[in-house]
Amino acid sequence: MRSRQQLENGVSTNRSLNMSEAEHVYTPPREHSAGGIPAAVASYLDGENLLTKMQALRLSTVDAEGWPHAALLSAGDMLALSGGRIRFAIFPRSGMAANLARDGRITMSLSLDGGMWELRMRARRLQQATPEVPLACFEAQVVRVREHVAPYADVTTGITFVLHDPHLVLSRWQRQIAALRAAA
Amino acid sequence: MQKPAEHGKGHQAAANLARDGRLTLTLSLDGGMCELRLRARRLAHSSPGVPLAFFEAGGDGAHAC
Repeated sequence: MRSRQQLENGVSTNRSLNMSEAEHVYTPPREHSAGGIPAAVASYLDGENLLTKMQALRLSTVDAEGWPHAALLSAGDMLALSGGRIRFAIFPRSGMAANLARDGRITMSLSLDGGMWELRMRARRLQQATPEVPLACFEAQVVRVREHVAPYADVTTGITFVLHDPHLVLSRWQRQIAALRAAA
Repeated sequence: MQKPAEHGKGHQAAANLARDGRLTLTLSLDGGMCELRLRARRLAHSSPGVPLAFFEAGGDGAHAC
């Protein structure tokens, strides 16, 4: 995981190579060891301190016609586990659920530490956790991790949101997290 | 010495669009997320001072969520 100092050093290095900082030079995404979840992502999806985590996670699947399908989940809908696994809960009749039933591939992206993390995963459906959480639970195995950074700019935030009633939502999120932990 | 990228080469998005022109664009606006499905084609235009590939995409339908 690149620290702020490492990012600054990276920019300094690129500055010495480019004619100017504004030069638009393609910087390929940085590949990370396969199968693991970056520490910052795992921390964001640890199921704790949910009201401080107001960035939505972008999840992409492929629909039956081959179109990219975008969905947003919150840290209250997802849970990172050991062994490169991420669980999440979604509406059982959603487009995303249908896409995953047909093709388990899913890509998640999240803005952290000045860049964008991209996790490619393969998901499988778990049994529905509890009647109190009427959602479909999935478990995804991370297969590829990439970090997107630009030498001329830092990503300062991703898609964020403001809750209308934080305490009501927090209660629901906590039930969901508990269900994700218990799901088999 | 790092060489500048050639027009459109080395970028996964450009390679994907060359193979399959489908593209989904999302943007946060007015408290929601706007999703546009587009079909893209590469333009022949090139500019010596802009070492990038140019594409034009047309709307397949817009959805707000």
